[in-house]
Amino acid sequence: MSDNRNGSGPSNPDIDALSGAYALNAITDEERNTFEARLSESPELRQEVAELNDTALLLGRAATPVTPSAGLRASILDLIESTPQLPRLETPAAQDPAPATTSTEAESGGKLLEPIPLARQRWFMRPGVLLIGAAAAVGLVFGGVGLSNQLGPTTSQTAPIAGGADLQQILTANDVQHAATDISSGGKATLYWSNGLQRSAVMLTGLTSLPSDKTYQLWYIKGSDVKSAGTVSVTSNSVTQVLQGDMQAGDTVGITVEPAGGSKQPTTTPVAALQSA
Amino acid sequence: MLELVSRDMETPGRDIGAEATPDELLGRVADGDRAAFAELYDQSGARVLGLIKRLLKDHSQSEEVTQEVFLEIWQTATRFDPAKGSASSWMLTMAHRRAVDRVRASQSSRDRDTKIGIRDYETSYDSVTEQVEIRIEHERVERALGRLTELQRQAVQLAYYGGYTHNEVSQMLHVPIGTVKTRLRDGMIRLRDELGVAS
Repeated sequence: MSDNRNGSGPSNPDIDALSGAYALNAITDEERNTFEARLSESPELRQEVAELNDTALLLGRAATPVTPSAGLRASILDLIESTPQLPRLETPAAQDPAPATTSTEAESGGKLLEPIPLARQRWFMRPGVLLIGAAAAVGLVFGGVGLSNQLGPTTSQTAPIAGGADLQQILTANDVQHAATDISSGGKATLYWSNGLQRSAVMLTGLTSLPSDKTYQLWYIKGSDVKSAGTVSVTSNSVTQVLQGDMQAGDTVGITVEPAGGSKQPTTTPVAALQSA
Repeated sequence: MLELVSRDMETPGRDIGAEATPDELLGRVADGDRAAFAELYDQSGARVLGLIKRLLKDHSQSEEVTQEVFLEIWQTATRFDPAKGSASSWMLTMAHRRAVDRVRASQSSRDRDTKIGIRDYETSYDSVTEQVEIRIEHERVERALGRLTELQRQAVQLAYYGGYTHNEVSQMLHVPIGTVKTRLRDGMIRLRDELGVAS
């Protein structure tokens, strides 16, 4: 009855054996997806994973603490001043508040509830190029500054935000997701999007300044269909901007360097690409 | 019926006195309380950074990732569900995920690691100055790790503290993938039993 292995759920020893690797985060994203699908149909496996997750946490707790620099504290506290929080989920009704993609993980082990799944970057061209970048959003840095120049007490150094109202809408949308990547010419790009709103915004930090006859330009890319989503008006090396036009689910957002004023179609190889997935 | 294991992994009797617990603080953070967030950071920043640095080694990169983690904590505190685990578990899980993401993103240094080998990822006793409670946990885990077979222990440590996938672990240890998968699982089960994690 509760023994799924004899029941209808197709037991798959190969997949089930991944429980240890899963709890240790020692699997690829694809394996994680497969495993979580399997997890949703096997209570025994969920139980095992919950326990192994807790065990892995003890490994985490055994790591020697390291005192962060004072600058980090200042930087983080400064950043949250301008970082909105996700709205609470409507359904307080216990069991299944998270979207489907995260629910198995959520119930399986007190693992990170990840309401804004970090879509892994699938750059549409070459693997292995630096564009893959750190799968890490530096956060919603409206204050747009990195650690290094973050030590001053100023709290009002906001980088320009184009389309402020829209931006808020996107960032607080219930289905907001984000993905981040390094920009090959320097800096980091984080894309926030809402499929519901069909809009997206990009946060660029640590941008390399361009000569005055050049500009960064944003693109919505779907297969061979490439649409301009506007040029980036950079007045500092950090900017957050809402993309022009509608986003289709699954679009890739590309960033290129173009002649000032922008181009109809990209004329250079993208310096960054972010896939909304 | 599925009984989920108790998520409260805090060592019993480890009372922090008058300080608010991470769970209380996180609850207030979810209401937008920045002072609570600062306190939460002061309480747990060193643990989060410690775990991240264990994987990344490089201090400034580790601080960067720590910053990402705390921003995510701030952003998503509203979605934290105490029924599903303690605040500190939630934060450490997030920290480990992020650290692993970062490690995997810097492929070139990883290739080098694969060649150099695994010595680095062995746990080691460290600073005498660390708090007693952490030492105790550390030693408890160390002892439990000591009960694993050599292969189990190396595989678990490479995976968790090295951020390697089971595939990479199999290459590093020169054992078939299937074997590594199994050793990670039975190693973790052994650890679970040694550490008394159970429902």
